[in-house]
Amino acid sequence: MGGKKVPVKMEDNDFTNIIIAVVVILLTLVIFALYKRRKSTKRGVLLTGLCDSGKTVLFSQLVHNKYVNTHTSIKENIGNFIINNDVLKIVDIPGHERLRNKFFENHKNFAKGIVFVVDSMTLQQDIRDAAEFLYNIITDPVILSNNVSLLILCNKQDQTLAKGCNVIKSIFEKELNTLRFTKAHQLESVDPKSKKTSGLGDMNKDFDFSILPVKVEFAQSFGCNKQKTCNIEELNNWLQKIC
Amino acid sequence: MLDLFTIFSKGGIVLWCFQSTTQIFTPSVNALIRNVILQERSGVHTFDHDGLSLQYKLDNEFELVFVVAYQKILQLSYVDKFLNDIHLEFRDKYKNDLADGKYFQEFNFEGCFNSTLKSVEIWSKKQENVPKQMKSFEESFKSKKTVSSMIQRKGEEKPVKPTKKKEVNFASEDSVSPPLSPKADQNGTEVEDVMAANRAKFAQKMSKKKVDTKKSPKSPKSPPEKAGKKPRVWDLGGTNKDLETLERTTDRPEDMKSHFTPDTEIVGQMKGVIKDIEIESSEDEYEEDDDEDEEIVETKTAKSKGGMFSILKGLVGSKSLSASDMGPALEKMKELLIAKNVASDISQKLCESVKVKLEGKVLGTFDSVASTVRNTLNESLVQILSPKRRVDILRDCLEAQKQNRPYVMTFCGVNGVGKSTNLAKICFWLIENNMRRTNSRMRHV
Repeated sequence: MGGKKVPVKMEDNDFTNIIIAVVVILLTLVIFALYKRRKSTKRGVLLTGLCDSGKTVLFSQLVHNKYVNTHTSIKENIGNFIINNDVLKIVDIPGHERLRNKFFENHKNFAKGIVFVVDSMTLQQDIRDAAEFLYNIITDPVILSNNVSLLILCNKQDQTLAKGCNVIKSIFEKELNTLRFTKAHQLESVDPKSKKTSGLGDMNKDFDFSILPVKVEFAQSFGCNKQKTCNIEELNNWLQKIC
Repeated sequence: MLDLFTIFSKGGIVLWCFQSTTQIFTPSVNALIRNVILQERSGVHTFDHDGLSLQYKLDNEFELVFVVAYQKILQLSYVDKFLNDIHLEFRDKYKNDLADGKYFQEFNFEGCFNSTLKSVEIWSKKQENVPKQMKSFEESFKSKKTVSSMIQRKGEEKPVKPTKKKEVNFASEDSVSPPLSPKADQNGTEVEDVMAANRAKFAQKMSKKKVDTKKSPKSPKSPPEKAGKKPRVWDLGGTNKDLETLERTTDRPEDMKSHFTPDTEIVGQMKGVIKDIEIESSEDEYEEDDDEDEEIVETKTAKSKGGMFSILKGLVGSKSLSASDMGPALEKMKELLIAKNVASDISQKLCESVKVKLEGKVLGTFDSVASTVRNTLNESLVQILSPKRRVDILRDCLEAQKQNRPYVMTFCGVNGVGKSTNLAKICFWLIENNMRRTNSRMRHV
């Protein structure tokens, strides 16, 4: 409407104000980033494993000290576990083939430790699935770079047909030995994001868990039995050790 | 009569469980979860496993699953109602605990469960005894008939205020409809007849969209008003009497005034919108009937509600999603899927599954319905397409070799997608890895 243009005067004062404002904003951002990083430091323990290996039962025993009936999980369960005045975030990841990768991807960045739960009863039949899942975990670049410790928990030890720790270890070593051969000869993926992982150790020697960069331990447990007792002492000890 | 009723969280923790027999139901429930819920077949209502029928309901707000199991041979009519009732009952009772995620407490739900079950059983018995009800008019076939016939009759009897009809005619073909202006009244009944015919045609065109909004209040009134037969006027027919209306010479006084009155205020400002034809026309239809005051009120409230909703739609934050909210978004997604060559019944099922998955979910403050639906559909598709079993051909080949049986692969696909090409490549790769190729079959689909 024919308004006259008023020339804007640039004074030195204006510049200092702007600089102060920018500095303040940057400072808050830095402080916020630091705070966030500190908050999300790796305090998670992931309970992984195949379906029906007893992850949710272990989760409820650990977090709530209670036995519950369970069904196949559709979503993850998250709870806090207090040990030595320290809080660990326990994440129970669904074991179903279609879900476990998705939830594992979501939580692996916060993992301090991973518990790989194995059904000691049915391991012989499921060994190929279990070994593949384990292989994916121990070759995951995020897991390798974060120095995550791994516990292979032989669950359901109260059953009479359950295999012992050492037997399970040897079964896994044998299976991983074949698996790393087949994985090494696999065709390259079409997905450009997936990197070809370097094989596990020297191909000419038999596979052994000790050659892994990830620290692997074995333990026994059972979530419940008919007398409603449970034995998760070894798991507790391990949690104490890693936190 | 129910064998099992169980409430568990989506994390798999059983909150409360009722069991009338000692049978172990966990495998059946797990099969339901794996085969129905995790396969995105949530549109399916019942699932049969091991002589049992299972029905379930998801609570997406508190992430719960309600499952009912009963013997397959039983025909229980009340299961749907029971699930709904008990869902509401449980929610009401433990709303606060569930919101905090306290799944590990004692849920004393026995009393509520029994009373709900009893009331539903009584309800179903009553339902059986009640003689079949007559259909109301809204349910009858007549109400579903095309609106055009009814409007035609009504239009013939009633004097029409032509001034109100501007937009309607603007939308219909101008070539057929006589030009309308206030002076059209002078043309007498013939004009009205032609107009009625045009209106009927227009209504027929629009009826698909408008059927539900206008037919129900209006139609009951029109049949009794029928006074007598009127001559049918054909679009392209007519006698000498019609000559006046059919004349198309430009110097007719009516034609000088266009029936379109431009909004002078916004001319030249490069703004303004195309009016919503649907709402405008339905409003006109009603407003011309001066005696039907009630209807006008009704439609106006309906209209204003629609307008309010569309405004609030973006702002709705803490409201939980209902099926009707998702309707348009899902319809859009379905069309998108079909446009991308997904079979229509499959996209229909997918959308239904997404609907079940989202119903009752509470939206965040900044989430819109459309984006939520889109993300959920995306997630569902990823879940469906991710392999159900591990894919390690070499490992399975080794296993097959060990057991002395052939390892069979089937390549299928439409012509020209590269079945043979890939077969050759894979054979080469297998030979390279010291697998003796024993058998390869091709199947064209």
